Amino acid sequence: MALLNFGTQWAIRLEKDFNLKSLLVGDERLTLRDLEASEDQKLISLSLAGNQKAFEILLRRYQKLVYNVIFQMVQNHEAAADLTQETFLKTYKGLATFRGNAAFKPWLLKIASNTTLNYIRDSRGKAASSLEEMLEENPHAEPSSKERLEEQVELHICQANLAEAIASLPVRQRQIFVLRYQHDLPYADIANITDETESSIKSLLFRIREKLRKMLVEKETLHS
Amino acid sequence: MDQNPINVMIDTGWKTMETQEEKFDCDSFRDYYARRESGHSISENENMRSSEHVETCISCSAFAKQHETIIETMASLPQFDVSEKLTQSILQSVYLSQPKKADLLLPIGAAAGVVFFALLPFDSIQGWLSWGVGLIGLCGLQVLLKSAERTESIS
Repeated sequence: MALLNFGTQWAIRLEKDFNLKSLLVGDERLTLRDLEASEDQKLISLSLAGNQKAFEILLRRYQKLVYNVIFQMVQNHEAAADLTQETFLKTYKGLATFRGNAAFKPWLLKIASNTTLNYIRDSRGKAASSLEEMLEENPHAEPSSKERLEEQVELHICQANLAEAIASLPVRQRQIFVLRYQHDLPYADIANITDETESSIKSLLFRIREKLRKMLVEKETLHS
Repeated sequence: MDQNPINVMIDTGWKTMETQEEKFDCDSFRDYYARRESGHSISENENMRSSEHVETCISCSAFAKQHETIIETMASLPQFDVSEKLTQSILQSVYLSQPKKADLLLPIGAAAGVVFFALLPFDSIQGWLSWGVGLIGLCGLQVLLKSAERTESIS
């Protein structure tokens, strides 16, 4: 048993060594750290050449974004996990068709968006859960700001109400709103992902915000 | 009543300006705000008048503040981390979707090995044994590499 363990560890080391030594791009020799700092385009080229580590770095770079965008659309962790997996699998299979001069992030999010919309169309996704439930389900989720407790509580109430209001929006509106205001995507990228024009995205975003404002004022969450 | 024509002109002028100022009411501000946020071009004059209006109108200033609050709260909404289990599961599915060269090479290699051994004239049992030991060694190495692959993907 000990011999087998030793052999396994030795083989892992041998494999890692081999992987590191084989990371040659043109005349350039890349270490794992170099690879992690590489731009998307380089990682895509390496993935296409069969380097799994390069795709793993791409995956780790974008999985949180993809998961959260999908989650806001389906409001269900189990479905979000399955759809994230499906998105990356489709992305991997479609890497060869990716245009080298385009940005990877909008392309990936478009795949995520289409995959999720298809899922919703097929199954009419599960009902929305509240922020409380979301936090209970995923203990890793924490509010990003660390202010005083009172402010935290106030912020939490505001966030919970906003999350509830967002969950009541149609899925397409929710997606556009989340991409812009939670993930800070440029209008052009959102237009690309949703097949809309930039001006219609801007106009739609204002209308969504106004709709949410009215909902929150009615609930007396926002002070008038 | 002041009949001085200059004073009359100044007076009328002020009144005209006041009328224009009054025209920029709350509805005008909401319309201006919607157009501005929707990416329409806004004149400098309109910008100035809206700023003046919002400074004095509590309702419109609250309206603008509420929009800002929604944007700020949205940016502070919690984001969820992806578990390592999900990452590994994705990597596994990606790995399994690949057509493996090794999968094709293995049966070809095995067939070539069998043919090679069948054609080799061995004079003694030691000859058979030495080739056998070599073959077992290679198989062992292959097993260790596979096991290492599995261990790494689980960890």
